Amino acid sequence: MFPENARTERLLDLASRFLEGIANREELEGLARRVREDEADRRLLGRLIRQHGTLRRIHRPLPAEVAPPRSRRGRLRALAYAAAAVLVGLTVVLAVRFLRPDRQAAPVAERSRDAVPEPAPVRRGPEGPARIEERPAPVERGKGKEDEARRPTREETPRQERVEKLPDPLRPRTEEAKPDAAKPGESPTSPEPPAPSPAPKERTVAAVAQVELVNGEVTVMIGSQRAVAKAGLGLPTAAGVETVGPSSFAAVRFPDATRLELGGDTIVSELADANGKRLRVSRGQVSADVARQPEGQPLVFVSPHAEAKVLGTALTLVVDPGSSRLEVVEGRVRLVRTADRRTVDVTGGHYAVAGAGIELRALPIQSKVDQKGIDAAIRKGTEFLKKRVGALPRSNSGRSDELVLWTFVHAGLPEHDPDFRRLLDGMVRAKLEFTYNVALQAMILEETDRVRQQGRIWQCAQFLMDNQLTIGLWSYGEPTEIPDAVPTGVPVKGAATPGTAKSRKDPYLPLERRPKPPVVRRIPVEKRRERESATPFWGDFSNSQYAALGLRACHDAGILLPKAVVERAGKAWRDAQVPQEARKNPGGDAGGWNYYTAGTYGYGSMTAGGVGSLVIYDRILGLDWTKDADVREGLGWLAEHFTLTENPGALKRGETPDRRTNLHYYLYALERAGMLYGTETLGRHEWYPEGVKVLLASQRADGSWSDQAGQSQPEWDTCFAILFLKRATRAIDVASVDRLNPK
Amino acid sequence: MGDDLHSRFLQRHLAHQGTLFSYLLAAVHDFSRAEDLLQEVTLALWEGYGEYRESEPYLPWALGVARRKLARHFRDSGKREVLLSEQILEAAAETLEKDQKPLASEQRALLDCVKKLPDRQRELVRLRYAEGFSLHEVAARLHQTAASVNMALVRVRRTLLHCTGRALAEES
Repeated sequence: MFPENARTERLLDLASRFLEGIANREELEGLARRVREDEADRRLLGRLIRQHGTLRRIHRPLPAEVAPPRSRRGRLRALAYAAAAVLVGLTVVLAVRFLRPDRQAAPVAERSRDAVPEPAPVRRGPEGPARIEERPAPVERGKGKEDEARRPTREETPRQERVEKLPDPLRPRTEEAKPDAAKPGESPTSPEPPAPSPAPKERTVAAVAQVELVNGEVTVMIGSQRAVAKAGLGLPTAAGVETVGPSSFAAVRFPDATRLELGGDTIVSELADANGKRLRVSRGQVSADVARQPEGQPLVFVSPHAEAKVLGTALTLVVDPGSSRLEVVEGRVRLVRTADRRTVDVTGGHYAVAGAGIELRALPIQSKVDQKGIDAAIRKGTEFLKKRVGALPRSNSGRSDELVLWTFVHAGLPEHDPDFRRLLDGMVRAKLEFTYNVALQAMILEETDRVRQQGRIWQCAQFLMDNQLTIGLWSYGEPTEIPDAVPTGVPVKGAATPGTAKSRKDPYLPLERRPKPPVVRRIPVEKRRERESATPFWGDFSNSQYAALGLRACHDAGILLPKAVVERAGKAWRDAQVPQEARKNPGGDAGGWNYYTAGTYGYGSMTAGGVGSLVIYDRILGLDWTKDADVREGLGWLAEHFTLTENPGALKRGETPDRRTNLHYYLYALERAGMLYGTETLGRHEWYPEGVKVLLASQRADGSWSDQAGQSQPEWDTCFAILFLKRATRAIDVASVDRLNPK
Repeated sequence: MGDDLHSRFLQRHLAHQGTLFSYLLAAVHDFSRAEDLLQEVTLALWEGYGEYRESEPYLPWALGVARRKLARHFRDSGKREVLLSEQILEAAAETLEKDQKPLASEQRALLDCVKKLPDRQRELVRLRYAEGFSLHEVAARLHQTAASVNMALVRVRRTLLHCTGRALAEES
């Protein structure tokens, strides 16, 4: 029946790895060969695949999977019910309707009737799904029509509730939970052994909360379905809300006046109100003003790293991939670290961070950063830079204008400022000739005016394409032939007209505060020139990390980059990373990168640049960077060598004459790594507050920062310091990532 | 007529959507994505049902539609090992088409077999399949490496294959 030998074991292992999505290329090749050549292997794989899916379905049934009926009549009804469930599953229209605030407390049966006239999305005419939806027939398990008529549809019974009704397959079987005795295969609608208990007679499914405010792209999730969120929508139990993009925002209010505010790129799911409110925060930032909760029924925030139990307070929870940070404005919140169930009570004015390797304790919020000091330092630094405009340093690797302008953008200098205009006008008129400058230009234009300047951004993209070396890296670059006529590209469906947002009409509003306009056209770019990777066009990981930033800006501005270029760029970084074997050596540099010698040793600025670059390439390729082993190893290097007073690792290799050389260049790379990956911590260190302290203490009287050594210039160091203090790097905007140029 | 057509579609589809789900899940690894894809495939099947000849078996046709959906999905996702995965899935589809064991009895057998698992293995099944944690998330929760969790899952899967195989043989 099931031959058991080493060969079979190996197949089981390969197939399991395939099912889990962790098989590497060799394993996939091995599995593909075996199932191609051997009928028995093919059968075994088929059985495993079926078992894998069935294991999921017996725990979380699919929409149409309901309890098997006992009689023929019941089976027919069940079929009709299942039909309704399947077809409801095809559309979110009903979900949206259900969520309408005026329907939130209506009895289910009434809502089912009301829902019928909604147009179904399929094109098969009125005899299609819309009519089937009209009659979700009951399963003949309840007693009497009333029970049957109230059996909720998929939309009316959100996932969590449906699952809760099913008997736990791991518990001893009870009479109620026994699988039906109907013969296998008797009916196509009888796949599920356990039957849900009949719905209570007078049951209603009321909304547990309501969307109060929406800004930007906000989605409501019910199970696997999604609908656009609008102010006033009711949210049923187990519903979730997702804000997409860094400037999006949503506010949710509960009947007891508890109010949540969701910042950008935030996911809150599994709203529940049984025995106190419960919210799962998967990522992002949630601020809450919590009304006093009943005794013994706290509001619980659950993140991947911790639980926060609240009886009535105001707080903010920030969930990053590696940690969860709780800030309490007033009241008292108990934070429970998931990994070891250790707790800490956080009182008003304090915060605590739960995450691997971070001590769990409450610290005063005020001590984290000195915001007034930061603002003053940035003002002074900006004044220093303004005085230098017109006499900015220039070298054979490019000029400083773009770096200073990029800093002005983030320092909040208004567009009408004469120094801002002078640099901007000079930049867009100048020839594209150096990698650093072109990448920064793309970043500036994407940040400030990505729709109207899309043509120029496309030209920057063309420069970056043509200057990528065959090994995937960039060197300083050289001019390439760039057509003046920019392709028209293709319109983006549903894009709003740019420039209509009120804030964009206000020239005094700092640019960093403005929402970016939606991209309205996508323009493909192609690589038209190959450059060999021989001296003097060697390629380095400094130019290459700025090229990555530039490509990210082009991508976000709607330029469709060739997949091959992005993959090649990522591969160059991966190939050069110091491999894990280096750990065997004392002080080994596994996970690090250096300027250009592949796989030998690492230092801070290049390793931070490597992490940021790989995150960007993963995101453009649609991969999850938080699961990228190379990225994690890079972060591991940064954590292990963490320091903010030198560029770690550089001196050891005799690369620089002074310990601090390129310190500020390193700090800005570190900021990008933290912001792009989405972590506030590196090992036990909070990179931002610690970095702020260092920078505030080291600013010079004239407002500048300087390493006073090596090739660094005070103008550059001042830019890097301000960019760090401003946390200038935008977190990855999920909404801006969609496609690549297939060519 | 429309109602008849629709009822027939549903009758066939519901009998096989479990298999379609398993197939899609094998391709995309993620439960939510597989569920979303199943919805897309169901819609495509209903829209194309007019072209399906009812005298032919439903599952091969449905798997064909699912394969085309997946091809697009793979293309969009930029996944690297696409070709190999497609070959493996093609071979899997071939056996899935042939395997006509009633899903309901297989499910019942599997449910009984899960109940017989030792506590630790049942907990693993719960975390992976009921809670829906990924392999890495399960590993983090259990303070184990992903590799050792995978090994434990291989053992669970082997045990369950044994157990359901026996149960179904006895039943038949």
